[in-house]
Amino acid sequence: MTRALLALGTLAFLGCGPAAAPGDGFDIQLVVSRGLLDQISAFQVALVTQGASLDCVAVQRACIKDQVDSARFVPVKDGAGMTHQALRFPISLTTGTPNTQDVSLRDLPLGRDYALVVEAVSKDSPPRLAGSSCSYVKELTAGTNMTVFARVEMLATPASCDPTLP
Amino acid sequence: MRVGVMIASLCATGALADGALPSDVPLAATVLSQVAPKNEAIAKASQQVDDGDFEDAVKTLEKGLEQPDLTDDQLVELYRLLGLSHLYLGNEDKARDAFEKLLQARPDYELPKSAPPKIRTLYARIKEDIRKRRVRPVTLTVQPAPDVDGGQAVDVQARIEDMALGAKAKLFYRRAGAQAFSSVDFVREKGSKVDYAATIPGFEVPAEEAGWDMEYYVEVADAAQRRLAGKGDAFNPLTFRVAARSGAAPPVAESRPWYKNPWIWVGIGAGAAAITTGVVLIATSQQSATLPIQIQIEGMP
Repeated sequence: MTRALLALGTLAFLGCGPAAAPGDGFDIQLVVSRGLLDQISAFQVALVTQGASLDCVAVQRACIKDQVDSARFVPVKDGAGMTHQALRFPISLTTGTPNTQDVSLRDLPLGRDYALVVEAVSKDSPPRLAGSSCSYVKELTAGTNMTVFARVEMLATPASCDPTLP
Repeated sequence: MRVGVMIASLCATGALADGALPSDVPLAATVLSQVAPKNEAIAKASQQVDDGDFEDAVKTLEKGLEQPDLTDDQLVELYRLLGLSHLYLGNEDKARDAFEKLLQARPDYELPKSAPPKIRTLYARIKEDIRKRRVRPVTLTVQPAPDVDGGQAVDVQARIEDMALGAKAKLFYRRAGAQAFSSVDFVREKGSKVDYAATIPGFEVPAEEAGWDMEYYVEVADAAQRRLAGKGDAFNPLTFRVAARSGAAPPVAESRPWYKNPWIWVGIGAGAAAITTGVVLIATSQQSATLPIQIQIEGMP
């Protein structure tokens, strides 16, 4: 009898406490965060030559493919060895703070003056640009280079362009 | 009579122009015959010179020079007396020729101070002329030694013309690879003035299981050890082969430590070069870059 009463009290303490009030910071952030993640299907990463000539602020407002000539995209290889103008990585952000995703471009030609453009691709059909990041890469040397931290800035509303590159 | 001839000869050469020679010469024995020779011709010629009988002395000396097996000292004395005799007879050319031979053997030979000044002056001039002209070239021809069987003496034949008086011909030899040369003198063969022979003793040419090389060279040097002629030298010797002992087993390859094998070091060198090349190729062949990217959503925690 005593044991039954103790178990009932424990259950009441764990599962029957007060509910979180609306407007609590933790909950809101969680809602907003999930909302962003729900819009993105993948990240598209492209490396563009003559990086110094790019206006990164303007670049982030529209699809990169509509802003530079296709010849300026540095060919990149996927895991199967196929060459593309950009690589697409399905979203796979880590849990924790902050949410990050580590990707890499391999077999890049050595050179100088590049711009790395990371575009968040929406889940729409056709996909739209949900956000973008533009980073200047001064030089690519042989071997593994320094990690580029690409901060994707989300657009208030996805751009109408389809960022998909072949 | 003898004195008259002598004085006439001296006048002809100008030796008495300053009256240096006493009128009652016999020329001093102490001046003209310095060496007490055992050779008969030398003894006779010396006496003739002392007596002022220079013409007879010349004949005696020329006959004496034809004798075989004259020693160097005997030759020197013969030519010294001959030179003096010709000087007193006024035959300067012949005197010069005799003194030339003498000086080749005794470059530092000087007339006694008691010799008449005119003769000493003439002798000095001849000596100076000879010094400027150096010695007469010696012609040496060596018959190359053939390959030989071990255990027997080896004769080397040479023909030496215009051999300078007092000069000696030597045969230098050594086993190939040895450090120092041994030497034996060439000896003039009897009945010939130009043919010489030298013999390497048989014990210096042992027969061994494997054949080996003997290095040798011939050198003619004057009394001052100046090389007058030669065939080969210490740095470029001639060689002959000493054959292996008959019936001897073929030489067994000498076992050498591995590190003395040049091919080992060639291999090591090639390996090192290959490794270096490989490292350089690997280092330079990585001509592509990898770019790590960390994506973060702006505004997300």
